[in-house]
Amino acid sequence: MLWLQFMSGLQSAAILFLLAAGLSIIYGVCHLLNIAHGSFFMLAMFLAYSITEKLSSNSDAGFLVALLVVPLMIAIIGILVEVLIFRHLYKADVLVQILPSIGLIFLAADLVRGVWGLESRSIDTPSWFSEPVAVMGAYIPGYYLFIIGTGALVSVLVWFLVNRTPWGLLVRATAANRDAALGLGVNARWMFTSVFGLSTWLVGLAGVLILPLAGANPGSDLDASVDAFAVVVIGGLGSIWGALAAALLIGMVKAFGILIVPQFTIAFVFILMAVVLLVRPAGLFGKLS
Amino acid sequence: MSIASSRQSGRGRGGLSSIRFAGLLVAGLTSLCATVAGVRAEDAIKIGVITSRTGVFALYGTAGEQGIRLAADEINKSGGIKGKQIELMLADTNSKPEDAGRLFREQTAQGAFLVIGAVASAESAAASTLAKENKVPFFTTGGYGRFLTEDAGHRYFFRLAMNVRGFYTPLARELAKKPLRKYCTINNDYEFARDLNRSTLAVIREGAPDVSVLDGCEFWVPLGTTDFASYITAIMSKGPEVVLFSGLVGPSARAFLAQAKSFGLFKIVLGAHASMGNPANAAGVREKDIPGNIFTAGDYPYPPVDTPSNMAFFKSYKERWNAMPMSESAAGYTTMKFVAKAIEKAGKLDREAFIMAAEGLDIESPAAGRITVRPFDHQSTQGVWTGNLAWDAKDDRAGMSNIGFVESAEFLPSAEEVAKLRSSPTK
Repeated sequence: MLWLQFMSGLQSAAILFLLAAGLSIIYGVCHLLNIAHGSFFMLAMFLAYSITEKLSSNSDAGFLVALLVVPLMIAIIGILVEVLIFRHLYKADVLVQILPSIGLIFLAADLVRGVWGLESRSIDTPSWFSEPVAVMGAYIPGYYLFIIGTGALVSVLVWFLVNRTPWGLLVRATAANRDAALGLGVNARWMFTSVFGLSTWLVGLAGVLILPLAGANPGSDLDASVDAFAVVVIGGLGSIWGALAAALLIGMVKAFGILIVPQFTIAFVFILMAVVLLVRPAGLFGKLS
Repeated sequence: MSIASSRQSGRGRGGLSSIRFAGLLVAGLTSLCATVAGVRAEDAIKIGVITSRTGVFALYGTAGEQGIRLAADEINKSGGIKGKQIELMLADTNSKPEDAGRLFREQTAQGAFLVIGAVASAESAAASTLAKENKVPFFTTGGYGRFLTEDAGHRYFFRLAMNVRGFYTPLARELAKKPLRKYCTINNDYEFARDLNRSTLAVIREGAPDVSVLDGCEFWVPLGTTDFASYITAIMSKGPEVVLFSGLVGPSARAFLAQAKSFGLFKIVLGAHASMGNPANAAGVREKDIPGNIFTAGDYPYPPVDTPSNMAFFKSYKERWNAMPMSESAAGYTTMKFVAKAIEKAGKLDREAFIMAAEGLDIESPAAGRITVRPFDHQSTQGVWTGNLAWDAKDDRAGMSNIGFVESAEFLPSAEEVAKLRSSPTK
């Protein structure tokens, strides 16, 4: 049963990583705190719902389409938001940067209310994953394994992008020392836009993946933002690997905490956050500036 | 949640252009902030309406408000109350008790004769306190909490909606008859759910004293939680016979069912949720996620009750709002009709005369038939339907099967019991 608990924690961690990684990357490279991050997540869920449920007769095929298309749609929206709004604010004060994010939160929330209404929207778990799979003696729902697998695959992909491509080199250089990198001729404009695209693609993927389990809910934007911030604060602002480590840590602490000391469930993440911040004020992988 | 607190639809309070822009967009998209159309005649009867239109109870509050507005429109179209039109004053509480209190004060100051709250229990409690202080009648359409008409009940508080006892009493008695003794509980963490869970277990133990909640198998999750995997695996490792999850509401209830289905939880245990028959609680539940063995109850069941009054209500509600009516819609509709009837009976706009007229007065509820407001606690005699959670294919949403109706006499406290509860303020 501990193994089953471990796997359920791993599934939570996979979603948390996809949800939070983009927030961290955007901060690391662009020095921008995008508090509307959760709104992209919510929008992805509702878009995926419409594509799966309304636009296709076969919900399995619809889900596959949503899985491929919705993260791209969210990335395009992210890029548009960067080009139209945030691009003009990189040099501005943090408070000035936050205000348009708040505006975005309102816009997205009311768009969802207007288009999809107030009821939760949900889709069936794709039928390919409806059977539990025996893994080391425990029966684990197929779809959870799919989420874990996708999370792992995307982590590797992001690692490859950041560590093995020319683009990644520029991203790392900019994250390490922004002024020096820009001074040496890194095309910041294009770089920031592409970082926004990747980040919002990741959060879009998180939204589509979790939709069959969680459902699309009008209030999920703020909940997702809070979760993402917890991951980023624990992992260290700006660090992708910090986000991965923190997502795994939160997933495991929650999974085993729930089993062992359920009465403290609500406090787990905050206790973890407090402990990490006491020991390492910049988060696990963060650097104090 | 400080972000949510500033989410005021369409007011554009700050001087910030982006927020104001967002606000304008809201106005355009939802038109919810528009005051109800109608002649602002000098002698219109002003009725305050506070609604949890945004925040965690948005679905419940909006349904209640839509029911109230539908009834008010019908009354106004057929000539108003003794020739006077009803003018509704609408406001959003953001699902926050402190806002409910503030808005209650504002609306009373602006001349509301009485206030109807399309709000949940905590907001109802805040408004109820002010109703008592200011001697202004307050009606709730979504506050199911027992204490509202019992321990904390008073002359100025009314409830046409059901008392939560209706949800859990028949269900708990039914559970007590089963030879199942090992329970796990999982609920959203808020006061109403805590009371519901406590009360359900108390009634079960009246019939089966040896029922116990397994050690470490009592879970409280934040409102809005949708990640249940670790809870479900933990429950499965404790090996219960029954899982009580009555206090999971909104997105949590649906997410829990879907994930329980993935793990096959309800293949091995019986599930009981006191109010999945309340349509808003089952919103988003999929046909495939419904196991056959979830015991539940509801005050506005699907498929809709096939009576002429309910069919008429169902049809006009759907036409007007392009949405399916919920329990709160029916309660709001009934409340508004009741208020009009009581004002008419009182014959004048006097609050004490209104209360005299309202006590013992009856009204047709769309689904529950004729219900009466009990003079001693101002609780209506709305009964409850019990059954199994099932798929209602015609309406394309979760509903109930094996439906049975339980009269309110089966679960409401008697006049003596109410008097006792009110004199000893221990919950």
